[in-house]
Amino acid sequence: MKKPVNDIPQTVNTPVIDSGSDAELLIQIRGLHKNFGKLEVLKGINLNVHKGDVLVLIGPSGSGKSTLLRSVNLLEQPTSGEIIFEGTDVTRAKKKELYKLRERMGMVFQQFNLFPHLRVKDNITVSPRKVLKMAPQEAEQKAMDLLKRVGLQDKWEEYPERLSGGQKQRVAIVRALAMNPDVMLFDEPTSALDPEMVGEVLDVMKRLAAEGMTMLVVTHEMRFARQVADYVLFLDDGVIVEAGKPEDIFDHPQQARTQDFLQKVL
Amino acid sequence: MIDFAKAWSILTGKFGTFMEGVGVTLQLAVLTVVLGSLLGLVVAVFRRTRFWPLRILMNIYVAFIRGTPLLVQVLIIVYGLPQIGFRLPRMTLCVIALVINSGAYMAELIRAGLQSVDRGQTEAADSLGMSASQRMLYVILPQAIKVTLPAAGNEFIVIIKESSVLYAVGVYELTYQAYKLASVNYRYIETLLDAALIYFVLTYVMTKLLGLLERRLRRSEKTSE
Repeated sequence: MKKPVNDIPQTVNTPVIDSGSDAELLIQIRGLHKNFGKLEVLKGINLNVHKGDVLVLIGPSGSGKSTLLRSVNLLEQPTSGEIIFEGTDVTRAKKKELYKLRERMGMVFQQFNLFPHLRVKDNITVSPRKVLKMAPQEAEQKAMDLLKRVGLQDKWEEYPERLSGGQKQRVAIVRALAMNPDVMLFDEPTSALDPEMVGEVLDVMKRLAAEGMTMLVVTHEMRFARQVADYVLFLDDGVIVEAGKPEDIFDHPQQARTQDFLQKVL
Repeated sequence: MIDFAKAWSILTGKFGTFMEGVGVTLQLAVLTVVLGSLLGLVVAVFRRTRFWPLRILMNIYVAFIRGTPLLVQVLIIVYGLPQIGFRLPRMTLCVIALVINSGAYMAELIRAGLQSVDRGQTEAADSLGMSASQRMLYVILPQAIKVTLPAAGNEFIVIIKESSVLYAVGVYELTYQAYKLASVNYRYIETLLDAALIYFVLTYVMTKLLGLLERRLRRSEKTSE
């Protein structure tokens, strides 16, 4: 499965996308390829993520943006390439190393993926308790603090089934934050929400970004991208076609494919 | 003609004997469903490991048990095991036979339960840094068991009925007791109808109790205090 990087045509020609931030590097993605059978979904991604970066990935469906995101915490095993996170290559990590790496990367899913058999408090505390071996009281205290910040402290005892979509997603964000991650990965967090609930989730994400959380966000919310992103990446057909500050991407897209896409969605 | 008055008097007159049989039958059924569920759980989890020899072994076990008659399995265990040196009490051998049988069926039910858990649950657990065993223990299994529980209750009822094959190896369960009575009083149809009635009452009551339990379970999921 894990081929040496040299086996594949190196993508020396594609530049490394970098926000230009002078904060230290958190993630380095080099020559990332992913095939599903014969289908090439990622065709050599080179990307730097600095601490505090808020990178927003946009692009048509099937462009590979979700796959890119899911490769970072190895929910997808890349075909080749490397992903260096805090000094370790995620793609070559042994099982136990991988568990450790994932502790420091929070993920929020389109379908929330809350644990339906657990109350909100246990959804949030199960991993801190079992994975981080945090004392139950400490875990609950932290969970409660976080839950208050998203305004859901009164849902402490509820089961996920009784929550609205927006509430579920806010709990899911809290669940990820409870692990004290160094980076948060958002995989279309508002795509499964009714329109009136999108705002409450985006608000939480905006606040996170303002607090300096490093975030990788796959989204179709262009307004959010423009407001919150430090850097916008436009993906199409498995490559980063264009990247830049939101005002550059949205107001002066250079590439025809970017212009085409933005024309359709804006 | 069936003499129903006689059937009634046999039932009331030999009630103690019947109840002894019921006791043994229920004991067998409870032990089997508990141990069989545990065995089924282990088998079902092993069938998902990456270690393929174990997986194949478990598949063979399930296929073999499901493809052979219970009575043959019972005879192999109860008469066969002592022959090759496992001298255990008859009752213990019977429980072993039933557990081995039930474990295979439970493994299938639990597997279906495990498969019913959404893929997103696995991904969420993974993304939180859980190991494969933590993911199974805290996320997948509790949800799978909830799905499997009604089927496990059904399995309990099946065992109450199927344990009657142990009559063939002389365990004093309900069928054996009834048959013994009949072979003395020569009232086969009346005595065995009594046994059938008792089986029916047992399984009917169990069905109702399980239905109640299931409804309560479903409700506990939806409400919160």
